[in-house]
Amino acid sequence: MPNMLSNILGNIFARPATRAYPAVRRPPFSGARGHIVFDTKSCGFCGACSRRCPSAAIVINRTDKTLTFDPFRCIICEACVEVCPRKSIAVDSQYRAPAYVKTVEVHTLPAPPEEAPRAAG
Amino acid sequence: MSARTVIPFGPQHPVLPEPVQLRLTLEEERVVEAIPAIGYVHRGIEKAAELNEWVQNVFLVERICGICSFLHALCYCQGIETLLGVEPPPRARYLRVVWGELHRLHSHHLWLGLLADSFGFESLFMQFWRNREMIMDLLEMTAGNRVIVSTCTVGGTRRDIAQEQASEILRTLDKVQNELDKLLPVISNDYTVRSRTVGKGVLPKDKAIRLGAVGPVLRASGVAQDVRMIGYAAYGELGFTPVVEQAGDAHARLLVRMKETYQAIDLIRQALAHMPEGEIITRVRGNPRGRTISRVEQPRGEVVYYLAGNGTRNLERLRVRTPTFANVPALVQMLPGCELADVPVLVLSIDPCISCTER
Repeated sequence: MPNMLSNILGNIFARPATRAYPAVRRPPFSGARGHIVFDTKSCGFCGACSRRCPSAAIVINRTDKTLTFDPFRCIICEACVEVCPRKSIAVDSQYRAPAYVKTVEVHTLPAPPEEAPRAAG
Repeated sequence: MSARTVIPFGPQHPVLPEPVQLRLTLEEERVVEAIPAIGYVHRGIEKAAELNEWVQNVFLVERICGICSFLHALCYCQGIETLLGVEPPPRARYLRVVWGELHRLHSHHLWLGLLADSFGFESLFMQFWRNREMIMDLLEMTAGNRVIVSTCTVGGTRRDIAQEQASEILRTLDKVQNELDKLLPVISNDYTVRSRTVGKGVLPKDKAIRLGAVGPVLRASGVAQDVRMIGYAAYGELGFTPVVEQAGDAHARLLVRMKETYQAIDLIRQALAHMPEGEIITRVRGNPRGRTISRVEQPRGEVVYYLAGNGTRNLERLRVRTPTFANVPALVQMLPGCELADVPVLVLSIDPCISCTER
């Protein structure tokens, strides 16, 4: 035990190596893979991300122009980010909080601005 | 002859992090026979690999093992690259060494801590795991994730290590080495460690070879065999020599892994110093056709991938032989004759990864 004695004595007076997690949070690294965000304004609903996704987390309906994303299936591998031809998918470095209920995200094409009603005739 | 008792050791046991059951036949306190039983965590990954496309399989094989995920991906990618006739760029080969050795470093830290925990040396366990956090932070900084780094891909790597990241890696490795220097005398000379490991579970050299042991178990029995000697990735250019111990007992296996942590630090420093500039990925075309065997040295030993492609997007067969599977016969031979109290230490001394083995 004498080899560890200085270590043990040092640890009695040192600060803890861990942090008080929910109260003190370490900011994520800049390239951290936190979660996937979609920008449907520029999305062409081509389905490249859906075909490449290894965990089948993205389902695209080309006729309805909807993208259904299951964040609880997603493994944040960035494969979809790499294949997206319009760069509509990005990775945010913030981690998502755990949840009790598993939900899916449905992204649709944003509604076009309403046109002024034409005069009849 | 005294009465015999059969004790089911595992699959849930306070010191076993892995679900393996050993049916131990005891005479008083002494083990006379050990029969392993696995099958608790089979996930059907090999079949899933036939259903997925070969590009997607990189992410699947990474999930075979949580501790050496990068090295599974590396082995798979090297196999596919052989089938496609693709050569990764030189910078990618060096980057693979850096991430591969970071994985070995954190895996050995994890194991060294768990072994200390198995004989009740809690403070040593915490020192190793505190050290390990620094390495996990390096992985998160460079790859974006702590464990499943997903940086290896067919044809190269998906991320690069920038100059400031490389400097941060070197600074952190100095700190890690500084901490390891304080723990090395404990591992090699401390009374508690020596009394629980020296002379326990001796595996002679000839027996280790005959039973097909791999990795640190084989090297601790005096056989200088390491797949890195064939020079895959950039190991051929980094002047690699394996760490060998002669005693063949649990303490020798402990020393091999402890010295390999120093070696991993040295290899990362060398790889970062000699890393050439240039591309990190080669463009890949076509689908794999033919059969090949790919081998990589993981922290636990040699992993073997057999890949069969038929020119389509799906592989015909993917077969994985993990190092723990090769070390189980050696473990079964080590146990008879030992005391029941030494069983946890001996089981841990082969660094079992049952989730890998069952896939």
